[in-house]
Amino acid sequence: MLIMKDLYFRHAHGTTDILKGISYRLDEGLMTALLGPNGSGKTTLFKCISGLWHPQHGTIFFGDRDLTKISPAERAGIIAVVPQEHEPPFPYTVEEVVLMGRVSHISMFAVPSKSDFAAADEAIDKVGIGHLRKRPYTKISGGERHLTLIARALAQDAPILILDEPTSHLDFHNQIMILSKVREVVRRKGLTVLMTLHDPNLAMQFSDQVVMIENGKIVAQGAPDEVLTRENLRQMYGLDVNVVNCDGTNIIYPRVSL
Amino acid sequence: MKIKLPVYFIIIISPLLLAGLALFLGSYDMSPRMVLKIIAEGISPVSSGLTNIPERSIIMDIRLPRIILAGLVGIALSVSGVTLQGIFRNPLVDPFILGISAGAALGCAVSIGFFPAFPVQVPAFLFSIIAVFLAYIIAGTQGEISRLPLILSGVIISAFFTALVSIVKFLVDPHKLQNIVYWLMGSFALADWQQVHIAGLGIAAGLIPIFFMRWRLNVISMGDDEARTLGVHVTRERIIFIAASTLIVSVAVSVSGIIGWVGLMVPHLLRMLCGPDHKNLVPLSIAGGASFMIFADTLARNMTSFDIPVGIITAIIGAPFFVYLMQRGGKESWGR
Repeated sequence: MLIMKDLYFRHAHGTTDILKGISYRLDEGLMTALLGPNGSGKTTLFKCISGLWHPQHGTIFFGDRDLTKISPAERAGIIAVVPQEHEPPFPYTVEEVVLMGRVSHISMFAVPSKSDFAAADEAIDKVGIGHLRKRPYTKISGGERHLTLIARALAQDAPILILDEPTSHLDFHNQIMILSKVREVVRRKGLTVLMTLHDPNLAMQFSDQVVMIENGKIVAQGAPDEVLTRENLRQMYGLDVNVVNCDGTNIIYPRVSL
Repeated sequence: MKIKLPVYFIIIISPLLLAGLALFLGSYDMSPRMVLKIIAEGISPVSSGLTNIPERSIIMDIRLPRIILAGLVGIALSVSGVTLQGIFRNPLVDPFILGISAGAALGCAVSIGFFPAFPVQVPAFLFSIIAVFLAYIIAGTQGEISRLPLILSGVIISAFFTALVSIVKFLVDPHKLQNIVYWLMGSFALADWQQVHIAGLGIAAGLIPIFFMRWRLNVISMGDDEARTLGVHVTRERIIFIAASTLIVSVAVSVSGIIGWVGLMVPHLLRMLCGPDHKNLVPLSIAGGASFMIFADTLARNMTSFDIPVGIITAIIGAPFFVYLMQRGGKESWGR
């Protein structure tokens, strides 16, 4: 599985380390949520794992391959990244966007083959957006765009899926819808997921493992109800919160003094 | 967006139809029968005694190379427009964004101004390559070469080279000044077979990698980070695309001068008609660019008794075209 070992990162002209020795072993077949306040190094860790930034020290091993040392195409065969949704400059159709997930399988001088179209179609059906196939990606809702990006990551056919704040900019319904969808497909295909979340309640509900990161270090890790405790959350966010159990699920709510 | 097959087919064969039509039109009065006879004679291996008449020379040595050259330059401008628009993720980027036109202008000005015995094409080509190369170096001083620094350094290089062109224009005598100005307007009036061969070779060399890698433009146009996580070696492939576009535009500019708007207008129109997928857009731009340029040059040759520089025609068509697009529906027509 994916094993990060002693990762250190600082920007080219930076004076302080943003990651200060992160070591973590991502559990196979589970959904792991990464939680941390803004500026904790969450995004930096994500970019290092996706291969966009290079850690100055440390390794990220998948099997016997060090992700910090392989080509983008090779990395794309191991990790599929679902970015935050955005508007591309050209109105590609949903199908064309999903097809892009196949780029690491397609030779540099070729266009997608029948089998690539089949893989894209399968991914589209799996997330249930078949009716959007020919619609311009720019003309669909934020939630639908997110589903398209998830389908694209599935078409990429990598064992690990990482999602960068999959719930940002989405309304309440779409947040739940996206995470349920991810959980459903991931379970079915036996994929491993690492995602960043802001809302501890979503992490509580949708993840098998939670990692808390603060100031470039992992401060807590484990099952959601063990990690997302009153003490941990108070320490990390400086907020007084209550954790209550309701129908078997822990609910976290802040105690706001008015 | 699904392309309708007939539309695709019509656009793809349009350059041949237009080129055929353009052969019949010109300032020298000639009956269509005569043109047909000369073409037939040109195709068949048997000589039919038409070799020495002036009409044959007009068709085979003046109109035909000019039409082919216009088609080649049209291909170069529109395909490099599509490529750079994809790379820079902006439908309003034109092929001259990295300073090619300013470089070519300086090459031309230096050549006409100080080395009149030398053919204009060579320095125009060299200087435009130098301009893009400098733009690339300047963008590289920021560490990673990404989109915004590249566009910015293209602007800087253009401004600098344009200033140098002005110095040359200021220093040379009025007759040479006139030559420089005329060349910069862009024209196919001096087309001959040698230029067709040079342009054909240079443009084909740049077009081949773009054509075969065209689908990857879709992925690159989603943004550097996204393309990289999807498995594209973005830096390397961007260099290939930029180098290939620079080659074809420099070759085109060296044989025709600076012809604006084509690289902007043709891809835009095709994207509206057939969607943004580069798998189709690149072949369509090859055909559409050739057709548009042959059309514009035929207008330039026949509209008046003068041979108007075709760059003026494209600008006269281009500007109102974009006003029309803006009127038609702002954001919608800008490819979103």
